[in-house]
Amino acid sequence: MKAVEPAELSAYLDGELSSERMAEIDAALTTDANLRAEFEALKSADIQWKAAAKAATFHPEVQLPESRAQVFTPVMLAVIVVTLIALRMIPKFADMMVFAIALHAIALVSLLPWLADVVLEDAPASE
Amino acid sequence: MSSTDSKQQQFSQLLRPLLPASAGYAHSILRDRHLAEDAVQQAALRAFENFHSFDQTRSFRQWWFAIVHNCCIDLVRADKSASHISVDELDETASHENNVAETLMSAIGLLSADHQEILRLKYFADLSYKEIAATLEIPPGTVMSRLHLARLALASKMRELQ
Repeated sequence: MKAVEPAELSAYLDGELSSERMAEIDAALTTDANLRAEFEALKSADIQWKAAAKAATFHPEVQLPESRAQVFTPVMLAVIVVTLIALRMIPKFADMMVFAIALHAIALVSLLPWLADVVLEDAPASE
Repeated sequence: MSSTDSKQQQFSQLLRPLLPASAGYAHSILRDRHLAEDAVQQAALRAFENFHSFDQTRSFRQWWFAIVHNCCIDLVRADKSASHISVDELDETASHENNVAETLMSAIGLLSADHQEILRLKYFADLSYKEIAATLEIPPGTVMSRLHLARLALASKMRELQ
């Protein structure tokens, strides 16, 4: 078996070696008292540092911007409803056909931002 | 639900679990809790803006912590006072506080830049060797040897401070 290099003890501790090498170091640790003492010191310090690093964590207040669609939806919905009610009150638009055309026009206009959103989203952009 | 909504939701789901560790990571660099919070907020906005260009085959954790690191560096440059705490000041802080986290951050702050960087990525960002290698643009074998040397240096510095 190849001798255990000091840096390999760190990698063994972190579980970052191949399974074969892990097994070899396992075996070396059972027979080599000096190596075991070195590893135990490393492991003990690692436990303390992990606990200390965990103690340093805290929950930061982070605000993410709302997407355009989320901002747009309730506003646009309110505009559509108000416009439709207003149109129904105008005698000229009381006619069902004209009202239906107006309804479709508004629906089309309201869909355009979403369409633009999807197109822009899929367009390649640099970081 | 629009694709923007779903991407935002995906981003949020990936980001939320990393926020506490990000705050600790930023704190370890900036040594100021409020600045750390600012750095994480800026990083979140920057990451959100660039999430469309994030390669889904890569590690989100590594990508995110690289952004947090850059935001911390920007804040250090903007506020030199945060990055130039004297060694005496750090020693004093560590000796008068029983806080293990403060002691660890102080001890790391006294090491070489290479050792500081790799220890923060390991302990505060909890990155794997592969992720550290990608972040620092060094081979995984170098990560192993550099991290080991950094650990030995840290152990020595911790003994001095305690």
